[in-house]
Amino acid sequence: MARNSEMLRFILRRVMGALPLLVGVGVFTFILVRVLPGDPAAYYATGPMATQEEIAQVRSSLGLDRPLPEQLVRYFKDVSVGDLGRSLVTGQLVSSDLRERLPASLELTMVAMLIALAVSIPLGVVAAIRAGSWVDHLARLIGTLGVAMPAFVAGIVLIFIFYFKLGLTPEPIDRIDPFTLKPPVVTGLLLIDSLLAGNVEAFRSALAHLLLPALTMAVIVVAPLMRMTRASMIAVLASDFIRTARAAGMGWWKVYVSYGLRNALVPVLTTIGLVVSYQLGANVVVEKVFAWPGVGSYALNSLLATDYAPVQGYVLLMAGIYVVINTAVDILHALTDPRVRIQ
Amino acid sequence: MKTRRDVCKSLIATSAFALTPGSVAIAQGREATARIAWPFDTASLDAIGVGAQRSTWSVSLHLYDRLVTYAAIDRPDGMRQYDPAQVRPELAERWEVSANGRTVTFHLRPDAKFHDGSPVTAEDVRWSIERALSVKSAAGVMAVGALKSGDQLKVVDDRTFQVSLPAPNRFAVLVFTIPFAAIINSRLAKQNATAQDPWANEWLKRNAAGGGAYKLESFRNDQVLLTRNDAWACGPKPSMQQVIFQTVPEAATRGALVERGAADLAIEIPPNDFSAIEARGQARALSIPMPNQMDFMAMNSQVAPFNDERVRQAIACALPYAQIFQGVFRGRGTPLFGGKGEPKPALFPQPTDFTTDPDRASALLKEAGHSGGFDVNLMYSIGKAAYFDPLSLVVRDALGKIGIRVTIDRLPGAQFDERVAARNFQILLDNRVAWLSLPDYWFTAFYSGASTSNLGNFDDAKLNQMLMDLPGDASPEVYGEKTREMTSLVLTKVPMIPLRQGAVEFVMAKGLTGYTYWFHGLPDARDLRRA
Repeated sequence: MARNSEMLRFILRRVMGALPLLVGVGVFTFILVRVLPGDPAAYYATGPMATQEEIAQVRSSLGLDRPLPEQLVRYFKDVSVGDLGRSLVTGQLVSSDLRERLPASLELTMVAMLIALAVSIPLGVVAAIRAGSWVDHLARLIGTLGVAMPAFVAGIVLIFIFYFKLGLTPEPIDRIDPFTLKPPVVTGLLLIDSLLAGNVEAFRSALAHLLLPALTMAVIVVAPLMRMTRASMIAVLASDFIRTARAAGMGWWKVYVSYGLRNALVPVLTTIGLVVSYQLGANVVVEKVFAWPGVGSYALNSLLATDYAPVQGYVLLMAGIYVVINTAVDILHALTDPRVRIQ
Repeated sequence: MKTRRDVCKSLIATSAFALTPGSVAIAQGREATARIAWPFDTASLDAIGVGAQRSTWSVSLHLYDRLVTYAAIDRPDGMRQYDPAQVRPELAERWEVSANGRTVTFHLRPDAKFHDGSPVTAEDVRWSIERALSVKSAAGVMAVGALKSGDQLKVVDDRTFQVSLPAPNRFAVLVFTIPFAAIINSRLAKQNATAQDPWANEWLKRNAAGGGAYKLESFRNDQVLLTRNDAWACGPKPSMQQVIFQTVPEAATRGALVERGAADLAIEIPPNDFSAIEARGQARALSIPMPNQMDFMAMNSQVAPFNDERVRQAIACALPYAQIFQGVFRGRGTPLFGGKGEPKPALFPQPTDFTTDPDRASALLKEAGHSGGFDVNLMYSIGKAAYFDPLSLVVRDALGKIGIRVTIDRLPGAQFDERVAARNFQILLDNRVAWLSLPDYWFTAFYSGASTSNLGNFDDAKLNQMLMDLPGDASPEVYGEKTREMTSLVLTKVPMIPLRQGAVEFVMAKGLTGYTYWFHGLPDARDLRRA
């Protein structure tokens, strides 16, 4: 019982600690977006013959002629009731725009993460067991190539090979073929929704569309995951209990996976947390290359159009996700390692 | 070893399952669908107001009708283009201009209906045009046709709409062709208006209330799906049953989609990709010269040293025109330099008579008191970098030879617009199309006034007077003579140095025909057919 309440207190502390962070992020993006050059009023006075007077009219209709502190206070008042403002460009509520687009980004990130884990953990383990061998060097080469190649280059290369040359994948745009009947929205994740609806064709189309962008995102994070698995695994393999297990003549699964990998996974967990947050950022580029209708391409378009509200909403959302992931990782740590929760 | 190989095998098997091409039903739908790949997001469906961009105008032309449009004529290369001299009925079956030129009466088609089945009435037309006049950006262009207030609009009966003008005006009918003059289902729009938003501006951003050749099927910013309106009576029935406007930011991907048959038309193709696609020959890389467009270098003619016309002329003499046309623009389009003799009447843009002459450039600079040269900043928008990146370097080298030291600012669109609006620039590179392509429209919009389209910041008393004095019902002879004088003036004082008339460059699938160049420079799927 004591242990439970201790755990609860720890979680509460972590969540409360995140609040000032979110406020800080809010203020920072608010100021940053306004300090950046580019005048939305001039941009939105769209006629071929806009005049100064008209630009001023647009500016006051956007509330941009008010003093900065007043704009900031108004912004936080709105955010506190869940109103992220309205996009100038689409005229839609930012919160509903984000809600509509977030599942696309999450689906992409999750599948990419699964691919990355499926590749990097076995590779890392093998590289650790056979440290210094050709397998180790090959793994290092693959990892380095993945890190060295910017996401957009990897994306374009994959498109060139798999779509343009081999014709194996469908066109590298959007989440699903426009001629395919889309499943009704339940989770927003097309793979799951199409399975729930029993719509095999939609599932195929969604999976095929997902493959290249997910691979692109996986490529860039394989290296850190693999290197961390390898390093941590090498340390664990050198420890006494592994030597004992080996000496006792246990099978390789028991030695390397049950005892070795399980102990080596703690730092890998932290890396996964970091890498997922990083991937959410990398989304912006990958979504642009693959015309993926997620939050990343939304934020980038809004930034180029000096549409403040969506950019702020996006940064807040990302900060929120980051906080959730980090808190979750901390809690998982606390669960596995008692030293963490007693400060 | 065996287990590993098995894992590989099963992986390949699963991916093969995922990659099976789509079903037969899809292939049939594909035949009757025009899929257009472009780089733009379509943020709004409303042609006027905040958020309207080129993509909006293109989509709006499918969803909404205008009173009138232009006729399309065949080009020698088998493609088509609009003819600015021939206005054709769209929603209006006919119109007449009164003898004194001050009243224009439009008679609507009796069979025209909106998508919801209600008939198009003169009241819808009046409401739509008054709405356009309520938004300054649209009102600015409507004013060219002497349309300034809703009081000038009159509903005579259900099918007759009348415009009264203070004086005869040669744009009085033409302004009803532009994207701003879309005719909206006013009853439907009013149902969705609010006290703060009496013109339903917010609602019309996301919803269509038109009667055009296509209906809105689904709308996302990066994918607009339209289906044919089989009840459409305002023009020849389009061949394509469906149109998809798909946002594809990567130019290389846009081209590849057409080459692989996933899209039918890709626009905004940069010169490198264009040449590569042309060489591969899997799709057709096509270009149509744009008679109402101009690529130019503009100088802020109200700040030193560009307020001295000799400095502007010196720069015009220093540019290596042939190198620019062949090297930067790849010889596509029409050169706007090396003109001979007097300018032609009633035509703009026209070539300047400047040629590359560094000696004359240096002499002019010396005369203007700048023999030591000066520092200057040149800017352009990243969105137009495909041509302006190389062009800016050519300009820098050429001006360097006469002692003018150029720094280059490559700006995001919003920053570029901001500096243009604030007149905070020295030299810029840009291009524009004129929706109304008569010469005096060019001079009004691009060579005078306080609007952002006057990119040379030109304020010439003589030109302004000539524009004011030009009668709205001038005879062709008078109009020709007057516009020749104006052309001569702006091409001598060169606030903007014309470089070339561009060509719209696009990639089209084999077997697709009917592409027509329109004054707005954007694709119109109503024209497309499969051979």
